[in-house]
Amino acid sequence: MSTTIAPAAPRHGIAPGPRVKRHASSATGESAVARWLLIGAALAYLFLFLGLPLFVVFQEALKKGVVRI
Amino acid sequence: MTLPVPRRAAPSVPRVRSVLPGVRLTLGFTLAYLLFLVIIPLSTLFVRTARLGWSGFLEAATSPRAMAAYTLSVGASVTAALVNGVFGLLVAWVLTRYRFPGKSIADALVDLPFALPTAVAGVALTTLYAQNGLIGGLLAPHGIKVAFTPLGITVALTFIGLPFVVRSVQPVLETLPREIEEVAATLGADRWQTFRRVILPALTPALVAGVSLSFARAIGEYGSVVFISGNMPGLTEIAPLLIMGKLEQYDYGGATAIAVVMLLLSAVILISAGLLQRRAAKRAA
Repeated sequence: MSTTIAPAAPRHGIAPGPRVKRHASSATGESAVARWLLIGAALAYLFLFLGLPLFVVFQEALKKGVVRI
Repeated sequence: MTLPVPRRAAPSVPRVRSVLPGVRLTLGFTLAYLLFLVIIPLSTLFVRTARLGWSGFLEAATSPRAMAAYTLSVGASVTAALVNGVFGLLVAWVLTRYRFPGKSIADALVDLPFALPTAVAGVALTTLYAQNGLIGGLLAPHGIKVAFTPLGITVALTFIGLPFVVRSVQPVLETLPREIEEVAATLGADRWQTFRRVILPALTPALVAGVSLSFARAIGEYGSVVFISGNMPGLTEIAPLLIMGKLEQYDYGGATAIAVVMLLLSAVILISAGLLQRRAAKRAA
């Protein structure tokens, strides 16, 4: 019967389907929610502690314009 | 022509020769280098302090002002190093494991405290956290004062220490084989268990090294703190500032007495961190 042959084709691994790939990465990866929470927390920390001070340096330096008359 | 036959040591004195050549030369160079750059300059501290005598030393080193400065310096440095330990690990993790827009900018930003002159960092942080600043203005209505308080000093020390933790942990995390996590997954561990019991033990030596570097940098920091602390004696005066003040008053004895105490305190903390690191490395191996 043709229905029994059809699922056997991807098992040889010539063209791994997206289902196989996603399953493989999830064993050593976090869920999307956890991932974005971690990225958000790290970026918030970097912004607060490094980004803002850098911004303030430029803000203070350029407060009187680029060219001082 | 005959090749010179290497002379052998007399059989009565068996010598074990190292496989690597040049041990004596490199060891001699290393010791001489350390001697001139570290040991001689630091030993002058002790020589200078010895001139005070015991009573003079104790008087200068244990004055209320000095005691307050040690507490503040060590307390703020340890707090900043621990905060960096947590968030540095998080930043290193996110930068090595995930892909997101702006990742390379975030990665480059980590090195900012290395590149920015500390005085500039101090001015920027003071502007930011002063009562009329961007963040200070938001916190002031809630009664939280950051600039010119010990909290502000901790913020400045956290700022300058972050890259040490991130850059210590990042390479270890990058080279950690994914297979061990896959093994943990096949054995039924969830992600948190894998992190807690497989990844974290492997990262601990690097993490401890990063945290102690961050602490070492913080304890000697002067430039960025001098602006944000306000330098009130006994309240927001860190030990390096007190030393500087004593030097400006030509009180070299008093300055070196405080320096010796700081040196010993830092040595104790760094040696314990080193022991912790070694124990963690042994456990991870």
